[in-house]
Amino acid sequence: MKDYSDILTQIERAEISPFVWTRLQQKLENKSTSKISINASRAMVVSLMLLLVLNMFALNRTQKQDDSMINFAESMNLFPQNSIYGE
Amino acid sequence: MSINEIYHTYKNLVYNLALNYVQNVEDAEEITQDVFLSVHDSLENFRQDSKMSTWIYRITINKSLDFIKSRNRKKRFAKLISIFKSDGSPIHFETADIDHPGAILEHKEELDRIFMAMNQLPANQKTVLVLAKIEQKSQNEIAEIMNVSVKAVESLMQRAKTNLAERINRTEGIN
Repeated sequence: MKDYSDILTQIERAEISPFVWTRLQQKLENKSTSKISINASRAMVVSLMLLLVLNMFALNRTQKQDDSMINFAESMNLFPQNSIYGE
Repeated sequence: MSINEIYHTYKNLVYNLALNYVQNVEDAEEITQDVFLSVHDSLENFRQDSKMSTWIYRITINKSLDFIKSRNRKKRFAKLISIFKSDGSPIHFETADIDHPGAILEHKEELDRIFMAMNQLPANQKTVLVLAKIEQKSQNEIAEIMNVSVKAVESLMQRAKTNLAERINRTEGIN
């Protein structure tokens, strides 16, 4: 059987157009500007965490206040229920 | 190594390899850009246990094969659309003609025929032919690039040659 693939060795090397580098540089620049920088994303994470901690702190504080209100009501015999005889 | 240095070291390797797969200047240029964008993105993850040229060869082969797959998909879709088109007017679809600048004029006709037959081969057989015959790589180098054994390369080479001859003979009506 004839080996047709040998003709492929006759192919010469071609030179790439210099404009390809210019176009590639443009694409690389577009890519880097569209990306959010690492520092910006870090700052966003830190602020989100801070917001979460503040929220938890605020919730905890309100809970404590509610507890002290209940204690006060108990000590003054002010039961927030409908049972008249405390049964 | 910066992307600038990598590009200027490997630009012709990538371009010529892509050209051998798609046989079209515009498509090869597009693949070349895609390859270097991938190199730029994954440069940090590049493991030094393989040579950079081998790594770039692999990326180029994968990108070229992906490009061909997507081109064939578009062609099939265009064919399908043309069936359902009511006015019967032809679809203007850019068919990538064989336009290999490395093909010497005196062999051009024969090379075009071989490229047509080569494009019908399975991807791994085509890759072996491109690397061995056009890129003039040794069987060991091909095995490393394709991540297979040397025996597998030998077998793929044999099958590629037989299939190529069969396809050419079939189109020319030779038994």
